[in-house]
Amino acid sequence: MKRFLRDNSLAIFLAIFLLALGFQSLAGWQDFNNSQLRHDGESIGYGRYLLSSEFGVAMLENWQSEYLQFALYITATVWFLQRGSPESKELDKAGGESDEQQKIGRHADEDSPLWARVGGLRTRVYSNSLLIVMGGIWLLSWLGQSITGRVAYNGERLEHHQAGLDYVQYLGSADFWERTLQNWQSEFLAVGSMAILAVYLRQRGSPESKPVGEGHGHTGVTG
Amino acid sequence: MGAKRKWVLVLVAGVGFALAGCGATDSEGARDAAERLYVAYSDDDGAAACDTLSDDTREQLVKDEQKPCPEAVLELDLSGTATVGAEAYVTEAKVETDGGDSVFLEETGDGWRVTAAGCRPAPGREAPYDCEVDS
Repeated sequence: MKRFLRDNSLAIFLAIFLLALGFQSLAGWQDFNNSQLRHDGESIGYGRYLLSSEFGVAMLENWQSEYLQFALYITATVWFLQRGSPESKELDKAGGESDEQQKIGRHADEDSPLWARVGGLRTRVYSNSLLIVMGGIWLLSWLGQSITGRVAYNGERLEHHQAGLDYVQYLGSADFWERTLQNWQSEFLAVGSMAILAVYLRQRGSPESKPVGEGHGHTGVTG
Repeated sequence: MGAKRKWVLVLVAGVGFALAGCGATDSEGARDAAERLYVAYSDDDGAAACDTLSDDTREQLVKDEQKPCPEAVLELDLSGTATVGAEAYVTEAKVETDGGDSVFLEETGDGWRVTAAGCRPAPGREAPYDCEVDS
């Protein structure tokens, strides 16, 4: 048990995620019902709120931006470099690197995953599988945001005796892009500031930081 | 099929069902309430027509017309006796009548109630509808 916890302690974030999502749903339910009471509307049960677009859009608009952030970061760090940043590869290593460096095909060793060894389409797919899955989840959650966002927004519009929007109209609406961009901007800010701050600042023991005594100009070193 | 693949399928199916559920607010109750208002109005049954209105709408109507609700509601210019379409989102709905009117409703503790009736679109996508009665 002790060893399992040591080897999987980062996965505790999944438990924290479920806890945070649970509390978000409780707070969102309360907030929705408070706003219903303000205009003599009907308060709704917790189960119904969990299945509502109000909860769906609040959850998915954040999911999509997180997965976009990681998908972009995975892709950008293949080619984009930052002198001195532990998030960057060494400055002469931009690009997909050689099969030997990546342990692909005949350069694979006995620990290499099967799809890295076999070559052909399977190895090409596996070589990009992290991006494919992270990017796929981003697109699915963005699609989910657009579907649930339209329903929640049309609820507000009907409350004010305005016409509802069809899906294409909603994709061009300020509500959709405000929800999208307010999440994107914060992700890009966090990525940009992390890349620069990690050149000059340190966290002892973190693989996201360079070793405390490493020079500011050294790139591609973590510890 | 591996256990991991099963989990992915369960997750995808779950998200799909949840998304499908999110769009589906039952609009039947809203249609019924709108139809009750329009049928009562065409039958000159002011009391039954007033029963379909939300509290705020009834108050506004009485204030506007300076008459008791059952009399005031029959002074409105409502068109149609049947509903031809409806859309419902979360706790709000809009119903169309065969006379070209739009009716706005909200879900209350007593079921769907009319918040605006005899509505026609105003120019511009963002403008609220012009309604005969409005809360």
